[in-house]
Amino acid sequence: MSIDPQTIEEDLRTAMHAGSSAIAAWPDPVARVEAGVTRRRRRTLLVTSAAAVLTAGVAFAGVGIAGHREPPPNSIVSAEPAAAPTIARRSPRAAVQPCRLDRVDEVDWIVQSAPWGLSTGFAVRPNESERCTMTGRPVLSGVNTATGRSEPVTVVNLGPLEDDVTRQFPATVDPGEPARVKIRSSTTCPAGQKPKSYRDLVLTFGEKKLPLSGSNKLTGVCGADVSQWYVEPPMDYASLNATVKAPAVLRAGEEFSYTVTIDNVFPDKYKSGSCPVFRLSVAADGTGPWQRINCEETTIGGRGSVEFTLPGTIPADVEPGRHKLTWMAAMGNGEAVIADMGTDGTAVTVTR
Amino acid sequence: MPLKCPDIVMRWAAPEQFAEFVRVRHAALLRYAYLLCGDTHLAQDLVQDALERTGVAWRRIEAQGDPEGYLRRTITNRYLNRVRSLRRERLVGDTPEVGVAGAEPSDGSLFRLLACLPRQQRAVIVMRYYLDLSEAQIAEALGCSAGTVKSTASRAIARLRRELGSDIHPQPAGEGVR
Repeated sequence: MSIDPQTIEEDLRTAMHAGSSAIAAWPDPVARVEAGVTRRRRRTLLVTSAAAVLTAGVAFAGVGIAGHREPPPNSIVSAEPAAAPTIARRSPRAAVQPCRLDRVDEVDWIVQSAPWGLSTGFAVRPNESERCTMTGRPVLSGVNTATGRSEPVTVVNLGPLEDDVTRQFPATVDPGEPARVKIRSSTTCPAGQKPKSYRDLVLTFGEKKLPLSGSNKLTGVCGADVSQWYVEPPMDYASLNATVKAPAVLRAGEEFSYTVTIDNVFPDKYKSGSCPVFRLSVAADGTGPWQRINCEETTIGGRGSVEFTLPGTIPADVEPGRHKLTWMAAMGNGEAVIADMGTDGTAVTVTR
Repeated sequence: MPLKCPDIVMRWAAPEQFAEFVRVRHAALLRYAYLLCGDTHLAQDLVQDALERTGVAWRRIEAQGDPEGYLRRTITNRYLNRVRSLRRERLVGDTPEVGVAGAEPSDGSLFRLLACLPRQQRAVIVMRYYLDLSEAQIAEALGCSAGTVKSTASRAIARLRRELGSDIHPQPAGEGVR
């Protein structure tokens, strides 16, 4: 149906209500939702089981007033050390149609830009317009610097990837989402084997050969372990916005107070169960300690806000200069809240 | 050390009224989500997420009297917040404004048109012309003022008109110029 600019409003209404076969109803919607809720409950149980024991303390609740936003109630709260929380993430996805490799143009080198951001490493972004799956294990090759000849880098098995990055296999990605690959090299050589050095490294998958961007050489290695394609699933974000107010200038090693305001963007009450676990950091990789706010329960009224004043410390080894304070929290249900996401944190100048 | 999945979590069973609601209304919610985001996979994710959240709080939500309204608000807000979050997590590169389903839907021109709108404008247009919500109702759902809704809708319509082209209907002779 065509839409006429002269009668655009009526035409939009008609076109939107006209039937479309583009999105089919689910064959068994109830079973699908039940399975999803069951997964969600298991995940929530894991999250709360992994948390530190709650300390009975001050209960606080944000009040939402429809139509007019009152200043949020302020609580000066204490915090205690806590174990790193399990943050809820997107559920693993089954494989869908394969990504078209002719739509992969380059291998990116991603540098972690924020504690909640993608980890540093290699990625490809299939230039697809709908969800697709990258499977399999790419092959790494390079020019042997001793011989000048291109050859595959010896494959070695270095065991499971042991770091704190959450990965899901296969790499079922949405448009623009990167499929990741981890490359580890081994400097331990079997008896009688000499290490090799390579330059101009290339990743081959299917009929696609792409040069590695960034660091594209290996020096003195006896093979490399290339992972299968995977995704780093995004965190599940709470429907909350957070902002931090802190002094603009702080000294390295200084203890200070800062305020976090958390707004509920929904008209409905937000209830997360146990108290949030948070970390304040002055680095992209989030090295601040995890702490739990002392409270009994977190409830924020519809369109309401809560505000905490918390103690913080600038690590003594922070280089003087401009930095960003980053604050992220895991609510009791595992959902993440990131303060000042739009600016990657709160600007602060650190002095000696 | 990873925790093992607790055996005590039994499969959740939907309350019968919620189950009936899902059977009857999920297709319409999928249609709404699809109009909102233009991507079949994302639309299904949004509806699935919203239904799961609603299911666990069904008694409370049903008692408020408008479960469908709650679901639409959830879908809309999760969509708008999700996109903001993904962009800032640098998960999304030069992504197309909207994903287009492999087979062009019969209302392809509508989706091509909606794809030119920023997400907030798109949400307002869909809520206005698909859900027939008033400015006040849209404002309540989006957490903004009715004035903002009005100006957003006005900008969206103006943009759509520009996309459609102003020369489709040339002025008849004698009109337009005084």
